[in-house]
Amino acid sequence: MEILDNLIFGFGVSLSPQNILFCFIGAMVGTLIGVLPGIGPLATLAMLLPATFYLPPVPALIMLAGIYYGAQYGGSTTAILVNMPGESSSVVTCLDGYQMARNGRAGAALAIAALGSLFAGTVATLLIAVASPPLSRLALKFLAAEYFSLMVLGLVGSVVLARGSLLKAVAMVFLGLLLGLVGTDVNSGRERFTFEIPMLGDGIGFVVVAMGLFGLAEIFANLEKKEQRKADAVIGSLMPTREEFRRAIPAVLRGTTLGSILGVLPGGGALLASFAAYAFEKKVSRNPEKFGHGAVEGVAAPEAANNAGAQTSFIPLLTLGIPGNPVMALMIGAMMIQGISPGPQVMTQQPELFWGIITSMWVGNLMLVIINLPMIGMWVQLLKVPYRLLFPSILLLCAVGVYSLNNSTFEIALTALFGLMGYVFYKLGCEPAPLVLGFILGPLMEENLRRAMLLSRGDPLVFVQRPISLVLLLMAVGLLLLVVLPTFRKTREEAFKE
Amino acid sequence: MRRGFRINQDFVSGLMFVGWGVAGLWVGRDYPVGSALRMGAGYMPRLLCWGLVLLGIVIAIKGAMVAGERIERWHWRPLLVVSAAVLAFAFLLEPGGLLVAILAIVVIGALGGPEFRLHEALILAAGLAVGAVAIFVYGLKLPLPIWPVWLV
Amino acid sequence: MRLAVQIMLAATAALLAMPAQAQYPNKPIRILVQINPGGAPDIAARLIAQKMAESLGQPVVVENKPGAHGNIAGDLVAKAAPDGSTLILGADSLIAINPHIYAKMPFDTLKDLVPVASVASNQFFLSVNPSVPVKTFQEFIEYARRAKPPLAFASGGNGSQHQLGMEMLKQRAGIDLVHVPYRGGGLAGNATVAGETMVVLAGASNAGLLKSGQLRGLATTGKARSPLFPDIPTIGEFYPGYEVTIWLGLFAPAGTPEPIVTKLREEAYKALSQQDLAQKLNVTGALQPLILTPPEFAALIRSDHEKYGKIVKEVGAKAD
Repeated sequence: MEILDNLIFGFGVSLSPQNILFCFIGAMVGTLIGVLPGIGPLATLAMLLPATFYLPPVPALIMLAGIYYGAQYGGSTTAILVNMPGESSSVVTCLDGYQMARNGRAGAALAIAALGSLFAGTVATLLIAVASPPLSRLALKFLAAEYFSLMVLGLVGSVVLARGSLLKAVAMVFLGLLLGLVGTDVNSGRERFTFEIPMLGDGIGFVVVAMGLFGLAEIFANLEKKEQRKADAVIGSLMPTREEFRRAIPAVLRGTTLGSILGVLPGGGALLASFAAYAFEKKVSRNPEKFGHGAVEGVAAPEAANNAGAQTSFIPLLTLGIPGNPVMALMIGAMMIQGISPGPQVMTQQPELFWGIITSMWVGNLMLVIINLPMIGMWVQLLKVPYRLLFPSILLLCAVGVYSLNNSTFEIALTALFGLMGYVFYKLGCEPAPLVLGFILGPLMEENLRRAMLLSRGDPLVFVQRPISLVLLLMAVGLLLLVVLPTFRKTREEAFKE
Repeated sequence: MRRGFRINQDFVSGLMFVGWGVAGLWVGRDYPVGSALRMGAGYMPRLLCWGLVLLGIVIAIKGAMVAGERIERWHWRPLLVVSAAVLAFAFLLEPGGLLVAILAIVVIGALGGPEFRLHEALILAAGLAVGAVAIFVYGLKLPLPIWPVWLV
Repeated sequence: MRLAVQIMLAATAALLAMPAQAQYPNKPIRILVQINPGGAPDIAARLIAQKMAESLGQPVVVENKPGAHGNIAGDLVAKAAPDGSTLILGADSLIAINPHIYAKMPFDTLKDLVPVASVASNQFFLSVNPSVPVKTFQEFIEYARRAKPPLAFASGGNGSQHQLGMEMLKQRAGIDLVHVPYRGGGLAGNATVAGETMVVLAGASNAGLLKSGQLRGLATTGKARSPLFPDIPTIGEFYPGYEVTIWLGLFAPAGTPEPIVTKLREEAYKALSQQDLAQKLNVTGALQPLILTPPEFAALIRSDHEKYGKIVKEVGAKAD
């Protein structure tokens, strides 16, 4: 029972008054920036980095970690309430969370998101404690070929995200892929579709796209329905019903599993997690037609997945010293400021740090629920604010949030453009979710495809010779068959005619 | 069952996808394509654009053949006014500072909404300005200018 | 009462009599940084800004304006009012490499910016995946020369210093390596740990991987050995004259009055010579304070500009 000893030792560290305090500060700040759309954990961590010079390593890292997962947590709030994804990982939560809110189930959606996240956080914490070393080896097995195959699977899966026409969903994925190519091509250094605008040299920001297509477009659509939302302001009971719990629990379990695995993969794993969980949930659901109209599973699964993924993305960092995403890279910076070089030796040389951080994640998750559950009532009151007052405030939050990413006013203007695009899509019955996924995956897919080809010296067999890559490709083919098989399509179309 | 040609959602979306594809092909006409084994910067864009053109044509044809959903009426006012509000914020933020930009986005934005009342918009702008300065500038220490450049 | 008025009058007179520049800084100073928060230039800027704010008595704000390899931030500063209120903490890549890899530069890095102060320097590490059967730099060169197909090396991107530094080594040593670009030195290091590429030339982001033994360090690219790894030789010990030193410097818009530039330089160097700052620079990014006289700094800029121009032309790296 070495694990148990380690966990007890870890709790001894993370439950010291000082560490609890910093965990609380981190969770609070994280929730705050999560709720504010656009303002992400990256910028906040960077700003707090100098402050950590003056803290001992353990509380400093506990606080920074708290901000990170707190932000994942808070991001769902605005997604559910106003269709504005506070964090990139909560885009999917918009799809059904916002619909739940419109059906008067905002409180239930927020509560499910919170409880699902807590459960996912608990499982992921245990997983980190038990299975870090084997999981980190998995991360090292994922090279260019595997990533490419994973992206292919993700793209095939993204079509499932849509509820309307299959062809239109595919076209939207293509459009997303194309938009994702804007910027400097990593392999050749050439700029593509930038129109010689230097601000486009690094591509279009994900938040810009998501905020425009979801947040702004929703405002346009709402405004033309006048004060229709008055009718929506019926606020049902705040707590989920028994039936909602019954449907949410298996969804949370599946979301946690998917999120825990994908989170370990460096490079967008955690982001993919929420999309994958949603698509999977829709696939296994007996009534997929409910998705997009306020299905509680559509909130529970992605929320569990993104929290689990946020947690397990610490695995490569803590065990290998390899940062899986920019936030983790900053954490490495924070560790190095403290004179700790991240890597496999951390676990043995600095057990109080390793186990302290891990157990603090659980403490932090618990705190988040304690902070957030009572706040649900308050958040829901927000929906009672007349829309004519609410939407200018959302506009402002959105504009400041986008600006804070790169301190670029150009990106605010670009967001407006994507808002217009989103409105056109809305009018034409084209759904933005597949586009967003294509947009995320596009550059990664191309980069890894070309890298894999470069490394294999032009031998495309590399994708089927490597076992993990082969399995992923086979899964993609299977899913594709499932999607295009006539019988399936028929039921699908029937489902959407209801 | 010939119903003749009808403008519907699918037909127009098909044309839109064709438009994206063609535009992409034109903008990216100079990007080196390379070969499947040694792809150039233009390989993926070209592949995707042709895919869009093809998908668009199919969607448009299918759309023109069946009576799909009609496109609802466009509401230009909220669309243009609210976009203008966001753009105003973008252009005013750095020269004019946060306060001026907030005034613009809130008041212009509210114009695009139902039941515009000037005094209400002004009060809202003032309230949001206080909140934004407190949270963003003092709380999160975002590098946002509060006052116009020529004042500091 | 009369006394108070007299003092006030005297003070006003004194203020009015002072030349305008002597009042510098009379408003907050912005230091632009070309990358998102967290990287070496950002951390260096934040550390130095804190010290300068204390000694100048005005807020010194760090603003991140990432994009186009620093051209966005550089252009903003180049076109800002030359009154010492807008500065950039730029990397050598912006000043000395961008002009060669961008077909169109929005500004002239040598003419539109004036060097204020050198800030910090760092070097790259040449390291390999531990499965590569070489223990020393010479063994590596021999191994790479014979390797068929050539070994793959990871860089931080096309036209990055990582790539250019490696190209220079390839020329000097007469070896062939396949260039595989990544988004930044950190990811290039990760790929080498995972065994996707076998060799990597990258900076501070790889220091932790070297320390933990996940990468085997063979050589460094600086003028002298790295204090972090005193056992690792420099490439220059084998190929005299080979040197890739990365540096950060503080720049102001061209036309900034000389007294202001001097004042800023003095303040920056004062901050850099403080022990605690040096220490933090070192642990955060293996950076070392770099304090050069203006002619020395100008010479460094000129020679790097030439050096990279030559290698870019030979390798044909371009970023349009």
